[in-house]
Amino acid sequence: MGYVAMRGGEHAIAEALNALDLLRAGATDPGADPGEALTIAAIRHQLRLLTDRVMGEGGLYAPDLAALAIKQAHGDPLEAAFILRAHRSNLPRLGTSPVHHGGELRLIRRISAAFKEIPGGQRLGPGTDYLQRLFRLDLLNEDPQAVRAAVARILGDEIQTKIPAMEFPGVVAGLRQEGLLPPSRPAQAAIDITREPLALPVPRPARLAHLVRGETGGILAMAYSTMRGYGYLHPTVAELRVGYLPVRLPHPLTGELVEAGEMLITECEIVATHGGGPGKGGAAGKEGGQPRLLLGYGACVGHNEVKAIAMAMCDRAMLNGDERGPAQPAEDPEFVIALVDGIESMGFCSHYKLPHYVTFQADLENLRQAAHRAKGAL
Amino acid sequence: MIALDHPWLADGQRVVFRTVLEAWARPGCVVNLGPWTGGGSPALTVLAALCDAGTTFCDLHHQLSKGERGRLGALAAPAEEAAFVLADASMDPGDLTLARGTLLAPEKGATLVLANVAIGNGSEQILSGPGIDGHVDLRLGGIHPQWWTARERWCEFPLGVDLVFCSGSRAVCLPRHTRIGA
Amino acid sequence: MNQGFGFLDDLAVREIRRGLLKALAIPGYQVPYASREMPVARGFGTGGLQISLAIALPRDRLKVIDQGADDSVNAVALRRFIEASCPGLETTTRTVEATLIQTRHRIPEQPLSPGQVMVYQVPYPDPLQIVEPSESRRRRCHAHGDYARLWVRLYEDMVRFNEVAISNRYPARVAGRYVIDPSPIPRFDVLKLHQSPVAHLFGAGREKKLYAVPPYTDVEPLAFSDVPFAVEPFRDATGARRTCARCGAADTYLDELPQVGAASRWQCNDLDRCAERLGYPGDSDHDEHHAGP
Repeated sequence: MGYVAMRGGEHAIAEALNALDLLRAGATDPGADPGEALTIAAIRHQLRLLTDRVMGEGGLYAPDLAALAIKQAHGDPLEAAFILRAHRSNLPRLGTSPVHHGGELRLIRRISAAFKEIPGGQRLGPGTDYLQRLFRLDLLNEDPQAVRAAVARILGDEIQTKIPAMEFPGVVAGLRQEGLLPPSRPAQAAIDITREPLALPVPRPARLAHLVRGETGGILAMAYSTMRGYGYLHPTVAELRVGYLPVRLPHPLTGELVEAGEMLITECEIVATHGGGPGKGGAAGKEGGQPRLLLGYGACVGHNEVKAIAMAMCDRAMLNGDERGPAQPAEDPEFVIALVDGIESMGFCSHYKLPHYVTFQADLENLRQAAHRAKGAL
Repeated sequence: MIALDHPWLADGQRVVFRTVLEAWARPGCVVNLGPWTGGGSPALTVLAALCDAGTTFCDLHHQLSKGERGRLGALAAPAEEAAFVLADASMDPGDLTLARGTLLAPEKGATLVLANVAIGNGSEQILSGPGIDGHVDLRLGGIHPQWWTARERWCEFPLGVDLVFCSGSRAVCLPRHTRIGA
Repeated sequence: MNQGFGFLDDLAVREIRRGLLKALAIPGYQVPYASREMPVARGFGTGGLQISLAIALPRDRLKVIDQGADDSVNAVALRRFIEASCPGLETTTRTVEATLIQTRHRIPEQPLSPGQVMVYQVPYPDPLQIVEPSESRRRRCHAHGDYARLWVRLYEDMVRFNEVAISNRYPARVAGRYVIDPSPIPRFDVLKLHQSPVAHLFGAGREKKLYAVPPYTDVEPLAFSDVPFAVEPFRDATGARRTCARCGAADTYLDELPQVGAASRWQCNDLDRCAERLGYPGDSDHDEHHAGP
């Protein structure tokens, strides 16, 4: 292999890596034990929501790899998602699953804001919504014995690891039956945004795929804009579900569908009154002459409720934009999908740290020449 | 010696592509695909470096075996839609329609690989345009004259069809922008 | 994990190959492609990197420069990655020896020759972005050769500043049709694209576009007939052309190095050109590089 001596860069890169390793080990902190390592399992469980975010943005359902990426990235979610995505980018496509439905979820949580009671029942499950955000000082120095005892107390005798599948009619299905929601659109073929160039105008499957990999904060900002007057969207969470989705794939030999595993997902359907807004009647959408509710859909990998709800709102806002032309930023798919990808925007933001002295010199030459000319003109 | 596997080897496809890239960037420049045709069809060798399930292909005159088409992996498409079209240069294309692309997507214009061309024979043609320093002379034989008429019909820059002529282990390219004639 | 030559999987490589051919067939047109995520951040040259990895051969001699320097951190990181992904490929810092040159922000000073390929890292592939944010509207402008708004922008500059205030990424028309963003090279380098003996391949990874300038192709910076396009003058207060403090060259693009309590020092930006002029002093590693394994 050819070798070329490099003056500064090579050495600086090696030292940067060393400095990062020292910081990760806490070597600069006299109170830290450099040998004390976070285990992958500890990250996966105790930082489960972070792991989920990283899997979602990384576009790969691989909890252990996501946990490793978090460890390697010193806990930076974007950097961790980036490591996962770079890994994913070269993985072979072994098969394509058929379309799966939320009705197949084995639920750990299901709520509807639209009705007091829903068929199948509300199920609060694990959620922080009604907890006071006060410190739990008992976590400060956790005693493994006490944790085990607490687990035993909560579970009691029946250690239930199997979550029963739940057949239930969705809230939206009921509304649709009643004719308050337009009939389902014919399913559009999924688009693999990682393998196909972006088509303009952006088809809805591609939009949803971009949002699934989008950065939670970015999607939230877009969705929030529609709640803050940049668009008028008053959504009602028809249904928010968190659960394990059994994933079926065609068997490589027989072609028959077999369950290959399961993944935790969050799914949200919002219903909205169509964007008349104040002064425009505020009426629900009209399709076929009859005012109707309109649907927005969001789904993401892992347990991430804010992302699923915000995504559903973005979906709805863009659909509104389709119908009457985008009037607000969040209604323009080109705007939304270009901006919500955290890994791309992070990369481009970071690139400004690269040397730019050639272009800056060109700027200076240009400015000096202009100044020179201006002086001459006086 | 015929080495049937050669067109399918990833390393060979790299060399073949780089050679085609060079030919494509310099229209009229005759390149040699070297041993990578395996003594078989140069057209297949070029197609193997470019085609897979991500693109579409039409074997207009059935020059490839079913096995070869399967191995290329490109989805079969009618000539007027295919991204890659393989044809026999000696056949009359008649009023054959190929994809020329659109103003919004000129890259959708097809790549036409013409096999059984006698490179170096035939009447001299003067080529000019991007990729050519001034002009270059090219002799191509064994091509049914209707292909030239068809090319004129297809190519109206930026729309058009890009041509690859193959013969033995050699290839020469004529992208849509190349002008023929003095 | 793909362990084959060139890191990218076969499908990605073939997509880039197809894209590059169409880019050369439609000089200056931006061909959309899927653009894989690389282990290098977007903005750090993933577009150029994907082209280099897709076209590299074991017999290539690769040169990677960033800001005209082979030893800048990003150039080192990219070169190391390509080298590790392409067993057999050699690297060089010498422009005249390179067969494949990946660059950010500069075109080498030494004349290029057939047999070489230039690969550019591109942050913004579309020259219309300065006047139109929507990509679908920009695509329509390119489709119809409608660069009116770009001309208006240049005209407004003339009215306000008496000159076009674009110092780099200067828009240029290729083969009389499409206008390109030649990547953030200074004006000084734009003219090198005109009737160049080599193919220039541009990759914008984040924006997912490939475009090209074939060899021997007209590349004309947009300019008004009465105000000719001018490159960076590098003139001192007396109007004399500045020269490189190291090699004395008076015809190269210069870096200005501010000094404390003294006038700035000026030296060649292209380190290889500067070293060549000085006869490669102290370059003992160079012969080893030829020996190979």
